[in-house]
Amino acid sequence: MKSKFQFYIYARDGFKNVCNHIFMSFSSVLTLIITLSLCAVVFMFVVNTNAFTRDIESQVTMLAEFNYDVTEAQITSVMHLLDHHELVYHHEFIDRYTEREEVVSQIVGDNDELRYLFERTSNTLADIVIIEAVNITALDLLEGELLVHPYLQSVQHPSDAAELISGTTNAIRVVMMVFAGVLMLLAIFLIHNTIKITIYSRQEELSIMRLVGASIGHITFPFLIEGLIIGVIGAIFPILFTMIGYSLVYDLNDGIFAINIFQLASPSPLVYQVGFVMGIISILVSLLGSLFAVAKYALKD
Amino acid sequence: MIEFTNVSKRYPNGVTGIHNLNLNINKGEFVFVIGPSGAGKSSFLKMISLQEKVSTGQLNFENENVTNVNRFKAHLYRRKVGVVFQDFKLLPKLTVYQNVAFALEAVGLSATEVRKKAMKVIYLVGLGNKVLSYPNQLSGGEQQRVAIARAIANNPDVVIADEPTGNLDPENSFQILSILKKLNEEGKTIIMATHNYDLIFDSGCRVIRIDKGTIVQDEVMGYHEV
Repeated sequence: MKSKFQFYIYARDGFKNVCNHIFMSFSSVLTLIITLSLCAVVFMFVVNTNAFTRDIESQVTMLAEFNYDVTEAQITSVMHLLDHHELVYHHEFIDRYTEREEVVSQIVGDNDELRYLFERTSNTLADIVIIEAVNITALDLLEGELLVHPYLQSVQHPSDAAELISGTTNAIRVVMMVFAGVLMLLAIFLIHNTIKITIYSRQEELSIMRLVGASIGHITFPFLIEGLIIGVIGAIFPILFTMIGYSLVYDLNDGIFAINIFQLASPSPLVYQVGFVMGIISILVSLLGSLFAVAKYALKD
Repeated sequence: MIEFTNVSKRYPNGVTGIHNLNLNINKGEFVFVIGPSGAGKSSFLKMISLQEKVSTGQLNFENENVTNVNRFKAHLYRRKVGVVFQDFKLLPKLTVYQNVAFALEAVGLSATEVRKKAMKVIYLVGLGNKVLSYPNQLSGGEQQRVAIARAIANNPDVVIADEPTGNLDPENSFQILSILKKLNEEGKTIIMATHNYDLIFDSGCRVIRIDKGTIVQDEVMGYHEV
């Protein structure tokens, strides 16, 4: 009974503090909303690029390009080699014309005007063979063998593409995370200031509390609850933004981002996981801000 | 009960508030502290309530050294000392009941205990009919009585009053004094700083005079000639 009443007092004082400085509290909440929304975008970006990179790297397929001036006989000899190769599980030859048609269809979709523009350009693609190795190790060995074949100009391992993509996305990720980190520090600072203003306005009350023998916990908890309230309110919009926003993007684009090869991760359970993380971050940031503000006051002699 | 041994108080700006004080105050005593402004009366009282730290020397309370009490335990000591101020220090947005209950809630009592103890001390100081009034609806004397109620709500052993009648007229001053004397008769130790020598005359109490940070006179019982 005693602790329930005490918690009621802390909660009551915490709410009162928020209401008494509603504009400061609002600015802290707004900062949290912006910070966490950006963090949510970063998280979604990271999760999707990680999934995509992993997906590519786990493939045991590679693509070998024939020389531009390759003859029918040379193509046949390469296909014969692959037919009897112990490391090859499956292979498929695609001539340059079919390949171009596939690439153009992926890019333009049903847009006839764009298709017409593409068809007017010359075909710079080479004949290719898509090779599926028996396993990842075999893929590496096969790659080494085919790289030196005289009729093949290049062999593209999916991990080469994955490396390029992950290098680019890493750079973007770092920039976004630095920006999110700066915003988080700003949020902590703003919440810290909000709490300090509350402490300043309640100086007399707090000095009387100390004088009558209130413990450090009794003095600090209402301010921590004030921070917690700001954190919880600040988390609502980013969580909704994550859940509804990502699901909307997924549904509107049929699970594809930009071009067909970029498959978006399924919303469930991703949005709930990210939403949960946003909530935790919001609460932690706001509690940190409150703690920094109140610690100095509470621990003074 | 309260023992000062070679206690000095020096402030960061170099001013000496108290110099080499040696003093004992026994349980149940009523002590007046007098002296000119800046003599060190407030410093003396603040050290007892731990509002100021002792610079050198030792302060004992009930045979326990509280000179460098741990900041996480200081609140337990402060609950044994009630403080009354010259300017009342009531919270203007709270009623009489809420001002007193505030002190009880701060020490972690349950809702029932808060209600019971708050009403008890409010009636003790004669403000039972003003429970729901706000400070700005009370006279100076009534406000000081609320402050006394708050100070004694936690049943402290010692009540420190720093010029509690400083803002009051003579009639209210004597009313406040009679409340403090009543508390003293119940066993509480009262230490009261005052400029109002009318209250001291005929009181039969111990009077300590402080001047320039040292005790210059300490009359135990009898009348004091200013």
